[in-house]
Amino acid sequence: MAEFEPRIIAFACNWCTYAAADIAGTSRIQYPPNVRIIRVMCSGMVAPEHISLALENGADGVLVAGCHPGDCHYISGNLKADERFQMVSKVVSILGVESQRVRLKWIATSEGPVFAQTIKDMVNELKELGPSPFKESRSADRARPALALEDMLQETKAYYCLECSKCTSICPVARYDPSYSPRAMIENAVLGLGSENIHDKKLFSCLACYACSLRCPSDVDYPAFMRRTREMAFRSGEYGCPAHGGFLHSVTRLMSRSPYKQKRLGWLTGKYKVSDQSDTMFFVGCTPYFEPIFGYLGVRALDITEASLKILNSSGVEPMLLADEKCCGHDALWTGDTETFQRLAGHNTKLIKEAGTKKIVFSCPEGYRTLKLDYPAHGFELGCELQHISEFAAEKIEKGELKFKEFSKKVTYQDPCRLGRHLGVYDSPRKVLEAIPGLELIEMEKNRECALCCGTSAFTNCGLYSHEMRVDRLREAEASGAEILVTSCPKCQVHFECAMNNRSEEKGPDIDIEVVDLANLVAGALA
Amino acid sequence: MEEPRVGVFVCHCGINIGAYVKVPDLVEYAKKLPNVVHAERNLFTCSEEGISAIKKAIKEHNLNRVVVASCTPRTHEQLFRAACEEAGLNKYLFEFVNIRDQCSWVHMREPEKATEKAGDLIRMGIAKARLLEPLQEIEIKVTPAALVIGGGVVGMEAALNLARQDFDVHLVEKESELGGTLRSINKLFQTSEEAEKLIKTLVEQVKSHPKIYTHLSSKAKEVTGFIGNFDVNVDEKGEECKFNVGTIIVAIGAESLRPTGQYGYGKMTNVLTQLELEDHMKRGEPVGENIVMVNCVGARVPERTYCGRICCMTAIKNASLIKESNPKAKVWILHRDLMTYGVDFERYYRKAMELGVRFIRYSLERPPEVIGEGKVERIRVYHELWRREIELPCDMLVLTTPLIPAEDSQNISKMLKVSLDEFGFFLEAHLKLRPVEFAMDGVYVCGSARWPTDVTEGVSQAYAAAAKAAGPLRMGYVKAEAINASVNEVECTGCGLCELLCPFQAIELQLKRDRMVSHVNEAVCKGCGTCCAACRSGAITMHHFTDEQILAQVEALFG
Ligand SMILES: Cc1cc2nc3c(=O)[nH]c(=O)nc-3n(C[C@H](O)[C@H](O)[C@H](O)COP(=O)(O)OP(=O)(O)OC[C@H]3O[C@@H](n4cnc5c(N)ncnc54)[C@H](O)[C@@H]3O)c2cc1C
Ligand code: SF4
Ligand code: SF4
Ligand code: SF4
Ligand code: SF4
Repeated sequence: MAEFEPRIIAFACNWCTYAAADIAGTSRIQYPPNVRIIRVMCSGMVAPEHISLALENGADGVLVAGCHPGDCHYISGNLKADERFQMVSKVVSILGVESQRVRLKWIATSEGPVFAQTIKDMVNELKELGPSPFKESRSADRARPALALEDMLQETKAYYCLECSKCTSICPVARYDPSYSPRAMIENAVLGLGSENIHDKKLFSCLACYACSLRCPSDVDYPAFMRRTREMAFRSGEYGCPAHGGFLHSVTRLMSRSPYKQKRLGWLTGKYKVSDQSDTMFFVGCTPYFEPIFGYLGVRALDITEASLKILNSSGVEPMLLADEKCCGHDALWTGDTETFQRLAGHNTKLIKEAGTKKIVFSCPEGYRTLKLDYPAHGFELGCELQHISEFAAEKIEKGELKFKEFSKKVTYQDPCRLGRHLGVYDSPRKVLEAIPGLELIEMEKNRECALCCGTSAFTNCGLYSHEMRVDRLREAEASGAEILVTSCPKCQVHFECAMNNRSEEKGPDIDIEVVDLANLVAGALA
Repeated sequence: MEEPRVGVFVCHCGINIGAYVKVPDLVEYAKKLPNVVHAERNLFTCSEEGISAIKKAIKEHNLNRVVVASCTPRTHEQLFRAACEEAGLNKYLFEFVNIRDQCSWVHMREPEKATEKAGDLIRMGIAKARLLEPLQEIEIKVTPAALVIGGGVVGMEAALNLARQDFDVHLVEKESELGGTLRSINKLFQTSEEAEKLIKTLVEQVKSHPKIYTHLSSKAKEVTGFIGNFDVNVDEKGEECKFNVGTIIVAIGAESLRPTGQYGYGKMTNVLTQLELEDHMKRGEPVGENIVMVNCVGARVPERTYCGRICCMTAIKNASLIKESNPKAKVWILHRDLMTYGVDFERYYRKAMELGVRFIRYSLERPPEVIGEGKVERIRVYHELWRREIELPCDMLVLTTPLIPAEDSQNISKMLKVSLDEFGFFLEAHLKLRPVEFAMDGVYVCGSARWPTDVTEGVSQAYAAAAKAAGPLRMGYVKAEAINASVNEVECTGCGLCELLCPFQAIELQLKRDRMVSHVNEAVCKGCGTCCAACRSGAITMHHFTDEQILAQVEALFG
């Protein structure tokens, strides 16, 4: 067998590293022919998703290279690149991928020999590591069967649509973005113009908030219709305008195809009691990944996880955590990437079954919904009880097993779409909040079934309209007189924080309300 | 977008490429790639012959994308772009593939693998080329006038320099008189020339120059726009005065630090700063027989870590002047280190020693102590080298304080979107490669506004800044980068991350339909792409390096 020849993608900045590679040429320095340079103007131009997409596509190694600090042609682009790269390398390391596969290096124009040496070193290291496992799995994903429009209509019964437009009139997205209409999408499909939907970026604006289908007199499940349409779109290479450049989706795809053991429990300390023997499992979800990715917003996603563990421990439960749990697949499923979803669901189902779990507790409503409804719907039966942490706490409070100290604050509660409209869990979180002495729960004008969404879901289209929705929701919370907006979804937290993180000081929305996850609030109030 | 019709030109570069990479194979290979309608090889693509082959093929095959696989864009991109342009094709529809400097020359012993790599690179280049879009360089007309903020010696020199090149200059000075710090200075080191004299001549020249419009008791209130077209609104004695300029020079100088209570300053009658001593001496008032100067008061201390740079020289100057007029006077300079950079300064320092000025080194840990009631009588100082305390008689104590950033630095930094350094002085774009220039195009800095300077340095900087500022004025127009970023307002959440990150302040959040959305000023954007990589909403397109184009290259490699 021919020796393994790694293939390296190098993002090289035009002014320093690209020039250094030229200088290596002018000086005829010989180095292995394994690198393919992609010229960029500045290393600051390299986005996290460029790196992850290179890995996904089968690069054995990725090099990001630019000018030394202080020498950037654009003053400070390389420093921004460095920050971004640190985030990516943290994520890559949680995935379990060897750190040698992604590198950052400053190489100045004059440093032709350094460029050559860097490539030599990388080639040697990569030869030792062997081929990237993502190369193989990628080709399998390419052969996806197409979906027939007619099948989709049959399946979702969208043809029952009466053209009453109740959906569009209730849809929060349509209220902000007048060019978005669920009714028009359905009509298109029924009229056989489904392919227009597929290429319409607006297809990815839907939040799957279920506000419409709760109102539809004809029982059309618009979110299901939309999800199937997205599946068709995904197969023809349409992704809408993914938030975060699609980095999160890309990481999920990598995770789903990864043979590596993740290092996702690095944050776990002796402070929390966990047990491999427990028949109750806590589903950690994506918070270990959110931690570095959303650090720039000041969001500590793992706080929510830790708070949940505290609640479990205080109720005498020492849960089991899976060291190699993977993303539940929610975002993949809702962006039409069914293959990724199925791989993740298969992986998690197997682990959960092997562990002999009787009950799984979630702090993330998306994971809860996905395992509860979508796993069985796709043939992944878990055969165990599932509970959101709010339901768990409510139960324990009823039994008198959780006690609280005084917490005199006015709070209001955001019903996350997945927990509320998707699963009908409205009461437990409220019961839990009301059990805390001194706490006053005020409802916002739009609550329960009518609650307004945080503006984005599955990290798809997150633009002006999402932001407006978010700001309005925050204003509503503020107007209620509450000091704290309690949510019970880590993503709501991220999205609200993002809206309030007014980077351009004078110019941002002047909203002053604290957003706290239910788990954090409860854990903090434990006696 | 019309269907791409790609033409590929693979260069032999004589034997430079041809001897190591199988060029004919590459041509045949390229022909089979999607959207390629023409592929050929040239002995030297950059020769007359090669260039006309490109032009001919564009016409004959109706090409709308051109890929040249040859040396490096760093030397030849302009040439091939020009060829495309001459043949009527937008020059940004051209893509370069580097198969010499980064392939044939570095894999000379592995022709098979080098050919394979060149094939990959060509495939990637074509994948990108298919997605290229035409771009336009915008030309911005430049108003042939400049604004100089600050009418000290440096600002005046800059204004005169520009006016002599026949440009209109608006000189804005906040005080009622021109001259700046030098108005309060007695004599100047190293020449002992009277500062007033120097200023007087300059002021006369400025006032009599028909091209200079002097605005006294005035401050720039608002500046908007960008290189070529800055709209300036000046508050002149309470009245608005508006004009438009092409470039701006910041020469607002610096201020001398006033000590806060150290060494009895403000409490004891015979304690002055060097600046006050200058005035004292100018008026010819007596200084006494025993004069002690303490250097580094408020400089190189934890709260202000920098060295004031020119203040040592000021102390040496005033000490020498005292000794010259009264050789019997005793003058001590207590210092922590002496900053006498440059040949002339060192000579000047040695001359002070000859004149009898005595230097004592003290340390920050054991600063000199003041002895006396209501008036300094003696100074106790721990002699660092001698390792003992000594006491000096003192009729006058002079505190040498550093220059600190001018009061308005913050305001002006915000108004002109230019940076300040950690201490609050203005910061140029690059210490070595772009002195006197700000990252913000069309705005320049000189004199003590940048960092404490003496007159000689300040004036040379004034010349440099004036030369830089005159460039665009003389050209009459500036060309903005065609490869720039743009915002899709519907996708923007107005988070402001891009505004914060752009190294050139090209981005501003603007109020549109009641919401803040990002806006890229294409005249200012340099196309670094930092904003685009940072935007979490995918609202920014970095032209010529779009996500789709980059991804296409990645995907083309792995097929
Ligand atoms: C005590 C002392 C002694 C010195 N002795 C010597 C010496 O012997 N030899 C020597 O070479 N150098 C000496 N210097 C240094 C010398 O003063 C500086 O080199 C010189 O003043 C620098 O000139 P400038 O024009 O940059 O700044 P400045 O002289 O400070 O002039 C800045 C001008 O800008 C104006 N201004 C400030 N803000 C605004 C605004 N917002 N809008 C409009 N106008 C504004 C100010 O009013 C001022 O007129 C001495 C300095 C000090 C403090
Ligand atoms: S509410 Fe139902 S029936 Fe009415 S337009 Fe929407 S999908 Fe059709
Ligand atoms: S699910 Fe929500 S966002 Fe999507 S169309 Fe229905 S109402 Fe609109
Ligand atoms: S970073 Fe993106 S979303 Fe944020 S303001 Fe800039 S363009 Fe808008
Ligand atoms: S590309 Fe660079 S210079 Fe242009 S707006 Fe974005 S960050 Fe600023």
